[in-house]
Amino acid sequence: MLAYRHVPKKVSKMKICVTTKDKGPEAGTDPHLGRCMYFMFIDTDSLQTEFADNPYATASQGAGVQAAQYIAGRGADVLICGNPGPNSMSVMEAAGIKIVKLPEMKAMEAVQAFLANNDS
Amino acid sequence: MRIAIASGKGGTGKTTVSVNLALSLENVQLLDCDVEEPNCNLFLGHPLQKVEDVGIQVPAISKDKCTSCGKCAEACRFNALAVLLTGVILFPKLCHGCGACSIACTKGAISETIQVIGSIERSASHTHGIELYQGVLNIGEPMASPIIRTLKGHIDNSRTVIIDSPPGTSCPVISSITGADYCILVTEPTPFGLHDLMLAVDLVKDLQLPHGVIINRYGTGNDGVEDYCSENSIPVLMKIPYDIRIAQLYSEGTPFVLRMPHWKDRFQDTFRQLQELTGRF
Repeated sequence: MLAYRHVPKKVSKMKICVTTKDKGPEAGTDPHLGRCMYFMFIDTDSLQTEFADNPYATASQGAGVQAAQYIAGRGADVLICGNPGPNSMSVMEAAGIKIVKLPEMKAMEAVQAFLANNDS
Repeated sequence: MRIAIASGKGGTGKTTVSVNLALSLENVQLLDCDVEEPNCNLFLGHPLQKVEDVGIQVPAISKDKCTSCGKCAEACRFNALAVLLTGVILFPKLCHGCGACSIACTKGAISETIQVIGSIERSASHTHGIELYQGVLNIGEPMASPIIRTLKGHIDNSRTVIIDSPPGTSCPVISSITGADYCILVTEPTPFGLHDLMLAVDLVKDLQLPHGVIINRYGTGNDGVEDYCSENSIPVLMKIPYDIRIAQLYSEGTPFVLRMPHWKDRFQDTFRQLQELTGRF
């Protein structure tokens, strides 16, 4: 298991996590957090993306709790997700991760929508 | 003898069978294990008294001793713990009280405290000669099984014990029917009733419980349930007809054997059949 260290970063450089249904540049966002298929991590500096399987997608219970802990462990600053559940929300809040709720769209569009909004 | 009354589908008549069977026999203890919505007493109207609270052990985490190493969350198979740099977050509604986290913690940061999730009640008087016990799961609590296990701790083996199970085939049902000498599966003669009966039969076979079927609302639906039972050599113990008088009495909260006493004989016949099938009395 990864370290749970969460290092706050400058606002200009962020790691964003997007819940997705599939992998690749055309991947669409998944409204679920705990039971989404993949997480897309993107670095706002390099704009490099990385996809990771959600290890908790089929957990019998508490998928949201573990998914949120995983995302925090990966050092994400922002989570883009349609509708995270109450348990995962409290983990995110404790970890200081900003939650951005967006309707379903392509993951890269969601990132752009967030960044456009965040700059203004 | 311990007789469990179960069903795959909800609303088929478990409580109807449990209460009417209990009222037809002597020296009965009735356990209402449907702790999310105990309803036997709607038909008995016994004054109830609380016997005990039921709690589960949940971890209490010392912030001073915890190093956020994450071992507790790794040990938790119910995902009730999240570990962040800032400390551990417990989700008590996900906790099953197994205690694995406190064993996994090498820093001695976890102690266990009791969290009350419900209670056990019993009839204060024995209006109809039935001793009723029921479990009550507090509103908002998700885990029925600890209440059911505590409830079953009150079983009196000197009596005929009737266990009214919750519907379905999940943990609370398994907790309710485990240890029974016989399991009566109540169904209705519809495709939906048959589908869920088949799930329930799979369960009782897994638990190696002798079982038979009571068909309620007989005369509606189709022959699917009867065909299935005869193909699989499952005894059909009783057929309760789709009868307006039974429905009317039910809607008034009156067990129908009290107004239609010939049904007491039928329930007694069924009980004798179970005694023969199980060799228990």
